Amino acid sequence: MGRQVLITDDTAFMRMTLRNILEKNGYQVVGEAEDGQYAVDKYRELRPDLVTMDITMPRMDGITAIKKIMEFDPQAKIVVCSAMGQKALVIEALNAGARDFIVKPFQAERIINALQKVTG
Amino acid sequence: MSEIIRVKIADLAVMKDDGLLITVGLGSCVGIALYDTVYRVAGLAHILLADSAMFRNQDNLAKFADTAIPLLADEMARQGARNGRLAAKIAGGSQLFSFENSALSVGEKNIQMARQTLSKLKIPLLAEDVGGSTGRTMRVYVREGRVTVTTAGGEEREI
Amino acid sequence: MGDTKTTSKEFKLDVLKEMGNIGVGNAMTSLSQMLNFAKVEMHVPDVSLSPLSDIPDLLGGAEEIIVGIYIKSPGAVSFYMVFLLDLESARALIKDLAGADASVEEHFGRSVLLEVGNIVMAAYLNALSHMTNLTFLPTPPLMAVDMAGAILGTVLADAHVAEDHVLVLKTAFATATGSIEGDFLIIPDVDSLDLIVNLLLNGACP
Repeated sequence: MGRQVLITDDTAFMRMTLRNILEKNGYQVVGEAEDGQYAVDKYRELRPDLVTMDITMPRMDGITAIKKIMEFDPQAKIVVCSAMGQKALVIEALNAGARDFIVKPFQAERIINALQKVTG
Repeated sequence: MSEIIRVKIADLAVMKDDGLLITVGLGSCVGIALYDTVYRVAGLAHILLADSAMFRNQDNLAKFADTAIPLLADEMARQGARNGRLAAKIAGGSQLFSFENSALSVGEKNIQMARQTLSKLKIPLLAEDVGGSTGRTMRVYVREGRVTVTTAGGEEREI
Repeated sequence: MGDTKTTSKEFKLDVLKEMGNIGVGNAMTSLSQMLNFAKVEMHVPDVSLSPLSDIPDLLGGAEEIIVGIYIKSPGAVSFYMVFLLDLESARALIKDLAGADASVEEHFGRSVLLEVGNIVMAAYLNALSHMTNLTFLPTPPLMAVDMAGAILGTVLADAHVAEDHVLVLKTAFATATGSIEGDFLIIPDVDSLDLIVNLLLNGACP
């Protein structure tokens, strides 16, 4: 309960890496999205407890996706997981509603700790 | 085999009688081979961009399809070729990286401008090996008037 | 009017070299972290104004089949960046990161390389952002396995390089074991050069 995650990243390798880390730590990956649009659609369909979100993706970027998901569900728990660690982007993502911002490359503990903090 | 000239990007060269003109690494670039079907003169251009009018720096005419072809034909005329006897073959213009959102890729624009310019100069386009997603190497064997294309990692074949 | 020293071409190239040094340093740190903190060595970045026609040969053999991962960062200050690896290094990288003997041609192998390119080039831009206070929004990475000349030529065409001399920052790197080596090429848009130099000199802390 409270541990269903939707993974969003445009790279299959990163989605697989995240899936492995999450499943090893007792989370259930209920969906994978390869761009922001899929993430929004899957969020509506699956209503996961948590979302990991990349920023640089084709079709729809992560920040736009965060805004759309937050519009649909202001309680959405989204954690950004991106290589883009620029200050302005971190601020924008957090202002859009993300709960945390993890810069790649990251250690497994970093993301697990972030998700644990968000689930409370 | 006598002379070999390697035509680099945004460059062109002409050769007479015997030898080899070669240009390597045609990605979105287009290689344009012209040869005089009667008199043994051949030329090869490796263009990078389609339309010189779109760029403020037009110093290097060999860079653009619309200016390189007339320049090449002129250079060949200096070596004894006659415009009325010229024929062309082109290769390249591929999309190595799939640019999802590009309306018309640079490669496509290059191909179209090459065709257009040749048509305007009334030079018949006898063969083309264009498009796709792999790079090409183009060779012009001056004595035989043969043009071949080799795709990255593939066999050399005549076009 | 104006200090000739600070506006001379050599000085500008020097500033860019330093920018390259710090940026690529950050990029290599990222790469090292991905490889479980394996030591990654980089050579001092080479900044040069090369004739356009020489660019496809910059890595040695224009006909050599290599892996190129391409990202562009458009905007007021634009960069075109390519992360280049020979095939063996690409395979070694996939093996190190994913434990798999996946081919560079298959979807999964490509996905690993795309992510590496993504992270490494973003790290470069992150450092640059910190130094200039600018924000960069790069495109998702794209990959090609083809002749070096074709890859570089295509990048030059996509960058609409109309100049006859192109500014290129080139850094060669290799893991200490030598199993993975490659090059990192950055082509700044020539129109943004003065802006970049000014920002680097007057911007945020290096």
